Amino acid sequence: MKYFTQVSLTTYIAAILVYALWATITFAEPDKGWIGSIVYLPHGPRVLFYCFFGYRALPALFLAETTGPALVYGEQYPDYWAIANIGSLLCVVLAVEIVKWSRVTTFNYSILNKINFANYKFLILVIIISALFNSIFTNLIVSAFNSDMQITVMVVFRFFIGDIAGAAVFLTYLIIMFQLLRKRKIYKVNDN
Amino acid sequence: MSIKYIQKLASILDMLENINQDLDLVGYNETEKKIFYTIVNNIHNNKKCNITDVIQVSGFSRSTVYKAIKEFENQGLVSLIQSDEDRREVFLDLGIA
Repeated sequence: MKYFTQVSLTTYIAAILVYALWATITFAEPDKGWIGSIVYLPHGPRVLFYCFFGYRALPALFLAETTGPALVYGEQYPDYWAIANIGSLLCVVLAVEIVKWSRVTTFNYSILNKINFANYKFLILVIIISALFNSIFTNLIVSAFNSDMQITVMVVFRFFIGDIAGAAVFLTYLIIMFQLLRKRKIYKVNDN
Repeated sequence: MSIKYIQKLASILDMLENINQDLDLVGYNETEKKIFYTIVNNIHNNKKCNITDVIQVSGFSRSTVYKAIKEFENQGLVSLIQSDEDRREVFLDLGIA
């Protein structure tokens, strides 16, 4: 229970902060809000925390992905996006199972097998596969609930690229932050 | 904190470290980082920075500073701009600005 609480708190706080940052940049100009989907940062924590913390991170991820947009949009936030969020999370779960099933990590498939994601190549594989599924399934779910929404190949492609680019930016940011924190003595430079 | 939680966080750091080592994203050594920070700090405070300023503030030798600046220039982090008033003087500017 203690582990679940720690995982949930870490996941929720990190995911909501990333969403808040992404939403602040994206909705600075509401007319150009679609530009945000070219670099969809929240895909980074979604994949990272599921891969490392497993199914225990799912409730916190769902809560962050639902409360984050609800805080930004308020009552205008459509309910069906919550279903789309479940779809997005399931895409990550499915991607991890496909990586297991492909047997590139272990030589026998079992849902209980664990992948060593310290080998980042598996994480990248999950990011790409989940982005592909997410771009298709999220748009399918949204278009099923909202018939006014026009889904084109370009929109699906934009979601696909956006998820990959967002996860890449998120990971790069983490790498730089951890390196700087570890070697923070570089800040000790004499000022004039 | 539970041991399992700390182990998971440690494995995230391992993964980030592995990417960093393979891509060499933060591959500059401490001397180069200090020189770059000095350049950025000088430009921020004085709106301009020349190589002599960097040598004086950082405390490194002329050859070390020149070598680091050459590396930054190759990476596109800084650019060298010749002064209009004195053609022997070269100012540093941030390539990423």
